[in-house]
Amino acid sequence: MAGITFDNVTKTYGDGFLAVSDLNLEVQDGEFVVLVGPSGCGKTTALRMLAGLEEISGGTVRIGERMVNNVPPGDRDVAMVFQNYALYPHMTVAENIGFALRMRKVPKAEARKRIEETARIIGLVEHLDRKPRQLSGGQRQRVAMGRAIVREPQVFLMDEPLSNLDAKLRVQMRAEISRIQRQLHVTTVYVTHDQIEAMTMGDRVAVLRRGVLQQFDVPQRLYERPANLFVASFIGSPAMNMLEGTLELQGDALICRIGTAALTLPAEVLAARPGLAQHVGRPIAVGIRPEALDEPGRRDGGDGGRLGGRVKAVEALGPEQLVHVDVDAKPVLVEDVLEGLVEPEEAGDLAEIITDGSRVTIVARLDASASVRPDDPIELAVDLRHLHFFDLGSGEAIGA
Amino acid sequence: MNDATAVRRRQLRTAISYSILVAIAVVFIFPFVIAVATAFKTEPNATADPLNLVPSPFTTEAFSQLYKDQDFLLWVQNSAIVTLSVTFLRVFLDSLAGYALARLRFRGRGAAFATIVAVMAVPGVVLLIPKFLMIRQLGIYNTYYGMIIPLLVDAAGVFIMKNFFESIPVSVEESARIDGANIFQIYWLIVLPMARPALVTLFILSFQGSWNELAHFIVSAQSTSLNTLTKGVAQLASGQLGSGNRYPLKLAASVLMTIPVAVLFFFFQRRIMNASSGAVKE
Repeated sequence: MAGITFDNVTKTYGDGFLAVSDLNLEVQDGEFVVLVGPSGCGKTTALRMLAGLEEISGGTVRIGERMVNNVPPGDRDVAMVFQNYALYPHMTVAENIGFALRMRKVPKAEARKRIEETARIIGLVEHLDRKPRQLSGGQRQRVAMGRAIVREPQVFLMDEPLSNLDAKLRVQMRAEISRIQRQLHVTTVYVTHDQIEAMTMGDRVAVLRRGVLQQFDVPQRLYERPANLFVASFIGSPAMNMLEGTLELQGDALICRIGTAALTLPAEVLAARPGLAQHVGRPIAVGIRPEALDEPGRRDGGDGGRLGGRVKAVEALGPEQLVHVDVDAKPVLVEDVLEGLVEPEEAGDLAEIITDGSRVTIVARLDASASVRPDDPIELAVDLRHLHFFDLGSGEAIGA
Repeated sequence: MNDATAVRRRQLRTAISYSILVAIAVVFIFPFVIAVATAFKTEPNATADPLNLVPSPFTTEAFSQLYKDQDFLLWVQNSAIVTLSVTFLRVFLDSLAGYALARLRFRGRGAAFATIVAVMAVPGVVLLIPKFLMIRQLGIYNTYYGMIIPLLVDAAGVFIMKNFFESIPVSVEESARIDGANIFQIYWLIVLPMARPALVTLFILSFQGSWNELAHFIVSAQSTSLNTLTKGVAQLASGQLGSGNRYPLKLAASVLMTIPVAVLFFFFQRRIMNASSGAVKE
């Protein structure tokens, strides 16, 4: 097994399109790293460069100590699981799993043993003599996994391997892949556009946008300390509410005005983000996660500010409810935010849905017991310690 | 309009449609049925009543004559040698060329494909004399080589195979590359088995085409020992003066000639299926 290093890696296609720009990434030995981002962000291209299926225009890729820029795919000691399974339809499950061993001239008896071991790991011992067309979608996916496992490679590469499964099966397979990876402890690079998959599976997650790495960190940190507006909007479901605000200094207190609401920020917020002081008097983007909004009085201590509005819709999810509230505030609808929320072609539609210019719809995650009905006025308590602040010009998080 | 009238109208429409279809089918099948019937007639009966479908008297004399008086078995043997050689090699070479044009990136690929498409537009008869000249020049006139080699690759076959290979998901081949297969192994072990429907189609077309080929064999060989079925039957058809019209003999040969192609169609029609089913999630 081995770690992986992307060192200033760039990919430019013949038509001049820059798919990956100056990517620097270090994956530790045995680590499960997820590349995530919207379509066209360069995640699959980066994976294919690592696999050897795409030429590298600039920079170096290393697997362990070995530079692999010009090493053919078959000699990189990597195994890949494709989005569409890419099974060999004329071969049985056993032949599919054993094909790579056959190419490597592994003795038949040993190959048979490894195929059977692999079939046990993926739970397909009973199906070894079947052809792919006789299997269900989930079973085919497991065969694809089996083909990778049997190789005992240094690196697993997975290109959206669950996106063709239905929602329930996807959740199960998510856990299954994580279990297998932990069991085998093989360095894994996993590509997905689904941020839930990324957050639940990855030891660390690399968020990409337009070929540029935005942030590379453990999931919790991506969620709690997004580096910029894009990451903040992309990570989290429902997405972070993004409102325009201004900072004012009243004595020692820092006030954040959002529409007609004035939120007095606790001293610890300013202490954690001294950079806020330089943004006093200027508009900034204020991010509020849905769970940072609650009914007044429910939260211990965190009732430092209120946002008033009218309930637009209520989605009951069982243990909790998502309440859509129209508030009197200006939304932040810059490209960084819209691209984090939806595909570029849907950005216009989204903007129309969430705002009419002077008001904006925000989402609050409330307990199921909260009594809210559509069209009722509502006051939401804001957890001020969990607000996020971003520079509107650069889109970067305001910190030190 | 009540229900009974509507039903009657529908039945009438169906009856008319079927009548038209049956009439068209008869027009197409009739010549073959006449050929089969005539093969079992005597020569006077065939001459006096050529369109009667019932031989009177019924005889297999024409078939006996084919074996006794003609080199029928030699023609069959020559046709079999040429057809099988051409068919197997053509399927292999066409698929090899089709794969290269579909998947490999090399300089001149577009021009090569354009040339192949252009060749498809040239009538075969235009090339007969140039082919004859080349065969003479290469010293393979009057040999099996001269009869076989010029038929080995055809533009239409390359075109069919290229299009089929392009429909195979690239990810399957990429998966094989990562598994350590080289280009020929990918072609031979992965792509070719997946291309079975196209291969079967090409096999049938090649078999039928070379089994029924006549013009090329006329320009590539002169010796009667290299006569194929088509040449032999053609010579029967243009028989000598005074030998009668020999309809039963000619048609008996023709009927026998159609059997291999008919059997091939019957055998392979069940094998034409989607070989890539299950490869990728669609």
